[in-house]
Amino acid sequence: MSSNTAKNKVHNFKVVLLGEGCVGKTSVIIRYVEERFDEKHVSTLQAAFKSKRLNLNGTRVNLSLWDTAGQERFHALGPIYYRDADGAVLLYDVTDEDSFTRVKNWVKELRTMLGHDICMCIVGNKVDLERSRVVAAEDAEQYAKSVGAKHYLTSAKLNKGIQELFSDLTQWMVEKAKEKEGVKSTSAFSANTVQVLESEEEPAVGTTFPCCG
Amino acid sequence: MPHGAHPVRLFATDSSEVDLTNSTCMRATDDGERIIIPDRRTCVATGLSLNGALFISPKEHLDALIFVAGQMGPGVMDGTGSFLESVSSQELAYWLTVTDWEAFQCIHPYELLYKVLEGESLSGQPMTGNLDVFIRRTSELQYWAATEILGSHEEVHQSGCLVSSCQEYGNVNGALAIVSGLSTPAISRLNHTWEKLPTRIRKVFGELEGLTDPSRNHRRYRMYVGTLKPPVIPYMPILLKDMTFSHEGNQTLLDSLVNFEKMHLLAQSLRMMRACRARSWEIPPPPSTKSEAEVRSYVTSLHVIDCERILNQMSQRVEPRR
Repeated sequence: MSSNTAKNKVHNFKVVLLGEGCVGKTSVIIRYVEERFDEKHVSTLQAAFKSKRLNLNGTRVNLSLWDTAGQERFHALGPIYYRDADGAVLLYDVTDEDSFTRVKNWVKELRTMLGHDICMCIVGNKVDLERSRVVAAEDAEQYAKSVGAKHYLTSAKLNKGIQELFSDLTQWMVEKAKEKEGVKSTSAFSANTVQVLESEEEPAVGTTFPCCG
Repeated sequence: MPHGAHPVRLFATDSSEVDLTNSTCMRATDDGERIIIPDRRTCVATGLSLNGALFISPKEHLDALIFVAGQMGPGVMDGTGSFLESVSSQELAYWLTVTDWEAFQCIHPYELLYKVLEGESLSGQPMTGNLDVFIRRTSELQYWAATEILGSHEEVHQSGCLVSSCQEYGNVNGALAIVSGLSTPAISRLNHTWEKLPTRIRKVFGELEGLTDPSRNHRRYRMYVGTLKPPVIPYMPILLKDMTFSHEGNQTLLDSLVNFEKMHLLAQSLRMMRACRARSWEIPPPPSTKSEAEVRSYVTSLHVIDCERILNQMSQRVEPRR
């Protein structure tokens, strides 16, 4: 490890998306990963989770995004997905109070299980439906702050806020990883320049699961 | 029952003296949470959470409702250890699988489509009752495993034998449901309990847990299921996830032309389900230690706690936080 300088090391990060059904988890991922396609492009996706390679001011990052779409009714499945996750995107629908309550429950569970090692982003999706909004941005912001998470507002439909969300999260995870390695971050991560190199269907990294012990 | 919220209310009005036509259906969860059910919702009864209960109340009285004991699920309870000790794991697995297979067979493939399209306007009356029952059953098995271990905290060993028997009977759904039940926070934190397990059983869990590993799009699970011969009960959460992804990730119409590639993807999942049921499940029962009726009635009426808060409390009692 010590032979790797911080510059040429590729960081592999696992990010899990959690949230009630219908909050738009899948559309957010698809918006983010498939961004390079124009609207007219016909792309039929296999049921896969996505990965994306980024270059963040010279730091190479491989993000695997794990989606739990369609499995909300099986709550006990959560741990399978969030285990060893570096980041979590907790989505709620700004027009649905219940979905926000659900996010609060996820926060509690993640903090109990993973402590403060995980970078959490609480995300209010569907801001395009501003008129029927029931979860006030200030409340969500304040709540996020109180649990050490960051708050974002997005619209997968209008492609608003999604790039910022993932680049900020990536930056945060890189900083955390460097902290862990005890390497002082040398470059200032102030500029939001994220360059997309490539995105692909299958993440190359396999995560091995230790026995349940 | 395919009843929607509106007919349920009319029925309640008919059978009681009170006029409830201007009222609201509401479901309560173990935690005392109240969730109002929209009028257009169908399959109200089958859509309840495990220990959830259905209430009908005039709109203006909603805030004044008080739940009495027992209306919000069982609360803290003991496991059924004495029964489980006296029945063989194989026998239990057999009757669990018989019950699960019956529920699985009732599902019409279109119910999966309706479930995935839930919330979108569909013509006609989309019915998902049988699938709902099966989904409930899967959750029930998950929470049953957790409840039993916290209730008598000596049965992890037995659940190891149980899951491998389920697996042998082709009940992949049941086996993985129990395994994922054991990875809930309340159970996975019990270090002492896990340490005491024989290596052999730990290996069984390790292998099965490997099958739930989502990396590379659930590759391990797909490879494993690919080697099985019907009858098989596939793991429903993954099937639903595939279909949700195929649906949400792809447009149905493009320039008013139907996206056939998408239809093929969805059909693939439905075909997979059909292949699993290509042969019916007819396996003779194993040597019995208990009467058939006794085991059957046990597996069809599992008592579970589906509230994470209560499970966590019980877990703290078994092994207090250091």
